[in-house]
Amino acid sequence: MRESHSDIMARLYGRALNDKWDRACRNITFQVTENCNACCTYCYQTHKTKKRMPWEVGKAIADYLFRMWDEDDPSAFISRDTKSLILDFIGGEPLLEIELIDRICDYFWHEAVKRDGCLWGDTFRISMISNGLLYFGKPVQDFIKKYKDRLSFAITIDGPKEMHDACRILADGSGTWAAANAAQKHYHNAYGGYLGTKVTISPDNLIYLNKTFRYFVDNGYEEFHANPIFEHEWTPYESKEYYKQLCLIADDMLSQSKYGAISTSLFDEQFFVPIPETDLTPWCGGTGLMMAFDPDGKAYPCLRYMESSLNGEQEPICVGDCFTGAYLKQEHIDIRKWLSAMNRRTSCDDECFYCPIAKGCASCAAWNYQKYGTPDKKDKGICWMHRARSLANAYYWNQKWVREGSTKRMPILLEREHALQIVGEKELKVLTSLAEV
Amino acid sequence: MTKEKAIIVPIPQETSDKVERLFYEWRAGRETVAFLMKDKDVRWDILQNYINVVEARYTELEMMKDSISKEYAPIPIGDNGSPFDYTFLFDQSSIRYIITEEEK
Repeated sequence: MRESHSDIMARLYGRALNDKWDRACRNITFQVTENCNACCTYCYQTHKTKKRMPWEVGKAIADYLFRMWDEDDPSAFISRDTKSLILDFIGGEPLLEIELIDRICDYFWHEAVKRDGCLWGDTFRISMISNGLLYFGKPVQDFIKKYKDRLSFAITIDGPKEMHDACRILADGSGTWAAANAAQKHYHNAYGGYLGTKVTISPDNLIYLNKTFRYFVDNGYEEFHANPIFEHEWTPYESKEYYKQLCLIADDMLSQSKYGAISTSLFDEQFFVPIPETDLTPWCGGTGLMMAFDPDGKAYPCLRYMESSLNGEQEPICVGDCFTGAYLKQEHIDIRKWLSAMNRRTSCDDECFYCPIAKGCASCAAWNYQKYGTPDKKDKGICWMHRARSLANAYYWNQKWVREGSTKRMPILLEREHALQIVGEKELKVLTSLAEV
Repeated sequence: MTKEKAIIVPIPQETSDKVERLFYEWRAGRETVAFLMKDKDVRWDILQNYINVVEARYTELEMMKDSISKEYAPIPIGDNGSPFDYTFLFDQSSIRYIITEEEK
């Protein structure tokens, strides 16, 4: 799997910072607009307005980042230990504000090189995910040409045309697949852009997962990632389908065809074992490791704590703003303490904390907040999908290792009563015998 | 007649990290200089200062590579020994030496 920029920074600079390794690279989200030119049926931002970020706010955010670097306060979100920043531009649709993004990036780069000892000018990265509808416009093309070596750019495609156009539509109901596909192909061919995708699995597209996987491999994608949405209480019935779809993908990957060459996080040999009781690291970075700014310059621990994401179900968690700073008022300091005190023990009940397949089980702190009113209570809506994935991983890895003549095996640690609700007695016997050396 | 021999020598992780960091910073610094040179509004003192920074990184990198490659060389090489070439393998924390020897 391709090493991410934050992983490279953690490796090069984080080792010297020991337990503060996460300070080496910080992720800063600019919500440049709430507006969007598409009307996707499953968008989680249901409280979007037409609000846009003015230049004064974009500049003030950049100035605030440099102010933290200049002040070098070790307790602040950023200090001189922070060797790199990822500037993440989101919307709505971020390309609606490409001129603003270009201006912020230019300003940021010039300010960085003015500072002796500041590496940000050399190490910063720009990240953007777009629906691709404005991709071929001159301002977007000029921006990509200028920043292509610094840019991580992705266009969201859900899969084959019929699947994509079922959800990703314009206001008139027409699909966006043709535009998105043309943009993705051009980005890959003209700029050498990396072809990878992250598919969101919902109850509506679960039965197409293998078909989707094949579509992306057939179209030259090098990475395929997929994860079930948190905003659904997944059932044992759906986990059976998930297991089936994952096994079909496993069969494709084991068939020694082109499907075997793709990199995917669906199968991970390190996962599906208990997490040691001493390891309390939370899964999600939305517990104080990120900072996001809305179009008004208000600061949040993650964009999912903004009003546009919480859908009116909870109060937004604002921690300051780009003009006066974040985590300065007592109430904001308390939020920071609260978020940073959260860990696996405080968020999980006993079933979850001692789960025999806990490793690799995802969680979104902001979703927990939206559902329960506190980010410190891990939602268990994806349990059944994680259980199914653990069995499918045993199916994949043990067959792979047997074929390679290896004695490595992935044990089946999922409780038998749970496994039997997904695969039945006969299939479980097959899986168990595959797991034996 | 000469023949080439490849030998991989592990080096401490910290040493490998140090060289990789400098290599990364030098390469990224060149991109920054290219960006500044394309900008018609750039202040020349800032550009010149940055060119100096990147040149200094290059010098430091080459000196460090030379010193470390000699320190961990598997046999006497260089000036009076066998001619050699080397590559840092950052992902393995090691140096791959290519040594040219006279065939007996």
